[in-house]
Amino acid sequence: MEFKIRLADVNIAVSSIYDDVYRLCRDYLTDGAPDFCVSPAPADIARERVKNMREAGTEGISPADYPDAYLETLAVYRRIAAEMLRYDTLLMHGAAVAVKDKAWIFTAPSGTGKTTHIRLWLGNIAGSYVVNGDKPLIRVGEDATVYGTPWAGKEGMQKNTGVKLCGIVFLERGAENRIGRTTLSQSLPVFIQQCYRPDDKSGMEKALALIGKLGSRIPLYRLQCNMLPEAAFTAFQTLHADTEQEGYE
Amino acid sequence: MKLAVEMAVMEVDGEISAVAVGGDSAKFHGMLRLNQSAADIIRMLADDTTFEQMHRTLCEAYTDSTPDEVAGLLSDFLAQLKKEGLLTE
Repeated sequence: MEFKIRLADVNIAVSSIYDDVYRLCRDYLTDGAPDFCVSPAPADIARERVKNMREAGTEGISPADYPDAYLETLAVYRRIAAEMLRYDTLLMHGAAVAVKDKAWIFTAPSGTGKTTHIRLWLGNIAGSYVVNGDKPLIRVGEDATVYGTPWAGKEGMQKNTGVKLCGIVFLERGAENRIGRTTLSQSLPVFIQQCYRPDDKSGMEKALALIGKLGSRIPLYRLQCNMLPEAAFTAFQTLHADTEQEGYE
Repeated sequence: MKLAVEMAVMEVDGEISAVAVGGDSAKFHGMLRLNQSAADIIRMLADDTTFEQMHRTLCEAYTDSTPDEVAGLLSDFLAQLKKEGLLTE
């Protein structure tokens, strides 16, 4: 199946074996001339299956028997993420939440509570909405912009929009709610782990350069939080106040 | 000898780090924080090289250290890499 989508202001032609990719991407269809094309092969699907099995092994869990159609959606996004580096755009594993025209990304290893936390925002912070609940794209220029994409985790929380990124929050579980600034140096191992890492050296160096640029241009935070509404208030008050103070208008 | 995994080097705010690349990165989750001489060694180990070749290059670059000091630092760093499984002989 062949169609075109627009992600992070870049037009992409997709040629897929299964229809699932098209259904996933229907909010992002475009008629614009493509900037690049992705066309996953059966080998890419097989690679996703091996990767899934390897990761399950690392985590000590049984690998899920995903259908090829689902694995193809992952293969397509992996190809897109690799190409997007040429447009100074990085894929990050995290949940991007926004209030009006300002967004923040909460990132942490799977199972830490990113989705739980952004649900607290949606339920308690007036005007908040999810840009992407799992794998947003970030364009790194003079400013940083976070974009919704169809790849939004099992909850599918996403919006086809681009919002100014005002901070990245490294989330940890805690008994109490506490947020403070962290440095790029302190957060770098987790930061790298949470971003798309290409399989080739030049791609990896480009990704690392973008991470360095992003981390030095926007504030970075460490949030320890529980699952109570106060967690959202604690985070929002600090993030919002810092954003106002730093003149993110 | 050379690196057992391909590594990409990044420099941010004067701090240098190296991260494993590609399929091999599954064997090494994390990154190495490096000083300038360690970064030079990592770059040299991207291709097959010898202790003597690296020692010669480092002595030319770090003229404020004696050859013996350079040899000691190089040996220590190579031993660390070997311990982490990042070096093939």
